[in-house]
Amino acid sequence: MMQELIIQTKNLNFNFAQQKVLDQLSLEVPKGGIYGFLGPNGSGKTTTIKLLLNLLKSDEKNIFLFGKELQENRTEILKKIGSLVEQPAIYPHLTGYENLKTRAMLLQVSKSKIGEILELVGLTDAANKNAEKYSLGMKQRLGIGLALLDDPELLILDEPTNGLDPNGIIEIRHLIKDLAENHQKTIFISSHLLAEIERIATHVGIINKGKMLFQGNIHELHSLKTSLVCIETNDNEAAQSILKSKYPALSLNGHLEIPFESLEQMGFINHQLIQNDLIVYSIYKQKKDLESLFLDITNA
Amino acid sequence: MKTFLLSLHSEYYKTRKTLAFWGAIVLPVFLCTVVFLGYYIKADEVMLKLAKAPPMVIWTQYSFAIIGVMGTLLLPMYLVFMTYSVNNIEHKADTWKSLFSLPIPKWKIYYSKALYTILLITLSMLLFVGLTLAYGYILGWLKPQLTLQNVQFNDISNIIGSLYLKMFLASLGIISIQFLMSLVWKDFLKPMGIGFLLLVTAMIVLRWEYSYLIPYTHPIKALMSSSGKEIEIFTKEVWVSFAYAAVFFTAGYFIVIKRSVK
Repeated sequence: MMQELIIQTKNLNFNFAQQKVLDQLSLEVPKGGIYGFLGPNGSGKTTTIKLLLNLLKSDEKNIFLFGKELQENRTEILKKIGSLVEQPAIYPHLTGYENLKTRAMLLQVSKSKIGEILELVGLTDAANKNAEKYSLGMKQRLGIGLALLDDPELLILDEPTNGLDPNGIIEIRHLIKDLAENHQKTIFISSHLLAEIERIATHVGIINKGKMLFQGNIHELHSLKTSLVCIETNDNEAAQSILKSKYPALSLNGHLEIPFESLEQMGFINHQLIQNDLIVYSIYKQKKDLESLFLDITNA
Repeated sequence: MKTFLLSLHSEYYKTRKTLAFWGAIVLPVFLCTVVFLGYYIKADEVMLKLAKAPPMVIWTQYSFAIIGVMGTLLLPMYLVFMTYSVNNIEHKADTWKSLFSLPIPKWKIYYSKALYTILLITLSMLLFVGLTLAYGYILGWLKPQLTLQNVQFNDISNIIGSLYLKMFLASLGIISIQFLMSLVWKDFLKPMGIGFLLLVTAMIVLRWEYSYLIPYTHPIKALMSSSGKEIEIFTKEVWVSFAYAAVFFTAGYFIVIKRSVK
């Protein structure tokens, strides 16, 4: 059975002046779970998010949320979304509580909900402090609190851990996991840090230069990981030319890399090199991690 | 209607601790108090110059010390400041994007902000009227030689009320233009600089026969066209001010609807 899509864009294009920012981007975010939207800085993540929130104007009607076209159903759709775009939008001269109250007024949310939200994002003790005195992590949590106020089905968070220290990152990560697992929210989270996404996401989309390069669940991404044979010898250049015909090798930082096929292949390589009077310092199998996979995908 | 009123209420809630709100109160309190103190301290000198003048003339002198400074000098710059302050709250906190991603029609956000600005300026004008009258009668009580207490409240409150009402109506054109510029531009120098240039231009061409077409002349012209006992409120410049307000507040609506929020 096809999974219900909460967000769907069909070949979305967007230009700033003459510059193409999004190129035929087709997002498919299923209901439930955490969708990690991954890409280097300037790859079009924030632009995509702003289009999803109808902040940027697109003439094409190819953005669908909850199965409905965005421009025609703007208010109805936005009712079900809580968002945090770039740095959190907080009035510095108001306290955390007042920031939430301003928003609660507009959304006609009861006052008691404000207390719940403060509790949920761990700001109860700092509720009466002016937001300008908040640390970056606290501001970020208040921003998430603002997004959660109307109990949205979908939470869109644009780089929520940007600029945070390791503790702050862990806090936000726990909060996001908690929201998905215990509060049944669908969470769309963008980041340029793969390690961050890898820890929490159930689905991943990788974007670069406005193009979607990979989209699927986290297991599919993991299955793309490849293994390598790494070899160090006393003469890497000679080794490279000996192996050239059968296993073209990449020379990197004083060692050679060859795609791993089998243990027999490793034995064969070792044997070949020794037969040609080379000294093999080391030969080992290495799993390519997601970080380098990400670099491969985005640099392709 | 409910969401519109809620937006309006939230504007007040947001600004109540800022200069945007307090500016509406501080200016009339400050200006009226300074003039009050001047008349209180120099009451005898004033009476030396205006000996035997009817009490109404002294009321006119006293109230024009406030409205003259306000209408000719301060009002246009004050409007530049107020329209910017209300919008600056969002510019400064970078909250336009979060406001416009709420499930509220954009026009409600825009018009509640515009109306809130107008209400703040109305509050300011009402304070000017109230304080001018109150200080006037307090002066009459503390310094009976000024004879201010001898004028009927109805007579004087009618004149002062009408003058400020007229000046307020003549300001709507400037408010609409400055509001739009402050909404679109984050940088205060742009609405301030352009507002100031237009004001200077207005001063230079004030006596030109078509100068009533420039909105920045309207408050002064509103005062200039008010003499005598009966004040005609709906003069030419007031109508032109209405026309500008209608055009620019409508243009603002279309700009907000069409514009991308960066």
